Amino acid sequence: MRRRIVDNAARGLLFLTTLAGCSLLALILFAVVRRGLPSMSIEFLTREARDFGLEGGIFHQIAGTLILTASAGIVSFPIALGSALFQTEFLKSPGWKQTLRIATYTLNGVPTILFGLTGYMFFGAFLGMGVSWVTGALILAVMILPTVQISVLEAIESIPAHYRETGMALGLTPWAQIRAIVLPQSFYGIVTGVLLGLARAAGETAAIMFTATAFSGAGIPRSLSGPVSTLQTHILVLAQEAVNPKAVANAWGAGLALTALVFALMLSALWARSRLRLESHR
Amino acid sequence: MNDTKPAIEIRDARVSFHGKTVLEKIDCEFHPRSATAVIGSSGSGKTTLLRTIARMNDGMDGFRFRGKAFVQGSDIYGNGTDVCSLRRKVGMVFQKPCVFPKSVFENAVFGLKHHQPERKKEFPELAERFLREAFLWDEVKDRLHQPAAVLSQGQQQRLAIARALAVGPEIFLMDEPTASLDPKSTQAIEELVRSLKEKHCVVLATHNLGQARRLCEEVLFVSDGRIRESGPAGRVFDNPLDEEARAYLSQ
Repeated sequence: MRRRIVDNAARGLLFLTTLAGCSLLALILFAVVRRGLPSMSIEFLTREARDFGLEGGIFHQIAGTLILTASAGIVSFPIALGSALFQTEFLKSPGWKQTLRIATYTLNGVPTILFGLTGYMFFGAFLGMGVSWVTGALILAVMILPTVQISVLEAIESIPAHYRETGMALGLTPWAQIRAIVLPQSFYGIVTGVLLGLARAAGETAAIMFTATAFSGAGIPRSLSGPVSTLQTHILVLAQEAVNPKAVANAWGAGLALTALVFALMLSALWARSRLRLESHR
Repeated sequence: MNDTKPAIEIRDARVSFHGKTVLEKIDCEFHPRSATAVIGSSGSGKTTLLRTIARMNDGMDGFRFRGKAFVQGSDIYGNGTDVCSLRRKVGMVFQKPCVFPKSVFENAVFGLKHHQPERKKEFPELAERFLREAFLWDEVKDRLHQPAAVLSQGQQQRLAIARALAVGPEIFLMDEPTASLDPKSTQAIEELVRSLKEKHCVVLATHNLGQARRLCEEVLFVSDGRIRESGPAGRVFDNPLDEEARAYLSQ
C-alpha cells in the first residue's frame, strides 16, 4: 500500500515537472504569437525598416540573419565534418579520442558572450576585420562548431560496424570507405547536425551584437567587410524603445519571424533525424 | 589435389590484443583450388585466424602480430604491404550476411564501382556474371533494382559472396557463412563453396562438422588459440591424433 502511494506520488511529481516545463515554453510561444501576429503582414516581411525600425518592415533583418547563419554554417560544416571523420576513421588512440571529445563538449558549454568577446578581439581587432559580416560569420561558425561536430560525430559513429568491415574486406581504401559508406550512411545525421547548428546560430545575439551587426541603417551587406542587420539586434533595439508602442509591436513581430525561422530549422532537423532512423532500419 | 605452392602460409605466428595472447604457435598453410575447414569450439580463435589472414584486425585497439604470414608468397605483415590490395586478393565472408541499404544490383557491383569505375558500362553484365557464379541470378534477375534487404538471409549471404567475387579475390575466407541460415540456404551456400574451391583457395571456419567433412579436403582443429590437429579431412575425422580433437570430434 505504502509502496503504491510513494509510486503514485513520484509519478505525480514527475508529471508536474513535465507540465511546468512544457507550460512555460507554451506560454512564451503563445505570448510571441499573440503579440507578434498583429504586426505580421506580407509588407512587414518584405519591406525595409525605416525610422529606426518604427516604420516599414524587417526584410533586411531577415536577409541578414539568413546570410549570417548560412555563412556560419558554410564555414563550420567542413571543419566539423573533417574533424569528425579524422576522429572516427583515422585516429586510433582511445585516449586522444576521449581528449578531443571532452574538448568539444567543453567548447559547447562556453558562454556565447565569450565567443563574441574573444572573436572580436581576434577577428575584429587583431586581424582588422572590424564589425562586419565576415567577423560575425567566423564567430558564429566557431560558436556552432561543437554543436555541429558532436551531431556529425554521433551520426558517423551510429553507422553499423559491419558496414565498415564489409567495405574493408572488399579492399576499399579509407577514403573510398568515407565516400561509399560513411558519408551516404550518415547523410541525414549530418544534415540534422548542421540544421541544429544553424538553429543555434539563428537564435544567437550575444556573440554577434557588437561584432557583426549594425543597430540601424545596414542593408544587405555589399561586401564581407560590411555590417549586417539581423532580427536579433533589431529586436534588441526596438525593445529599448519600450515607451513607444509601435516599436514594441514591431519587436514582437520580428520576434515571431525569428521564432518561425528557428522552428523551421528545428523541424527540418527533426525530419532529417526521422529519415536517419528509417534508413538505419532498412 | 594440392598445388605445391601454398596460397597462404603462416609460420610461428602469435596474435595478441593488449598483450593477451589469442593465437600462438600458428603454423599452417592453405592451398589453391582446395577448401580447408577450420574447426573448433567458440572462442578457440577461428575467426581471429581468418581475420589475421585478411589483416582485418589492424584497426582493432591493442592488436599485435608476431611471426610471418605470406599470401601468394608476399609477407603480408612486412613493411610496405598494401593492405587494400591484399584484401582484394583475400575475400572475406562473414557469419551474418551484410548487405548495404541499396538495391541488389548496387550491392553486387559495390566493390567494382570503386576498383574499376572505368568499366561502368559493363556493370550490368558483370553483375549478372557474379550473381550467376553465386547461384543467385535466377532468384533475383527480376528484382535487381529492389532493396537487397528484402532478400532472405540465405540470398543475402549469396549476394555478399557475389559482391566479394566481383572484386576478383583468389582466396576466400568464410567465417561460419551458414551459421545463421536455414537448411535450404545452407545447402545453396555449400553448393557455392564446392564451385568456389574449383578456382579459389577456400578457408571455411565452421561449427558444422558434417559440412566440413562434405566440403573440405583439409581440416585444421583449433583450441585455445593453438592448432592441435591438422591434415587431410578423412584422416582427421576418422583417426584424430590429438586427444582434445578426438573429444571434440566425437561430440
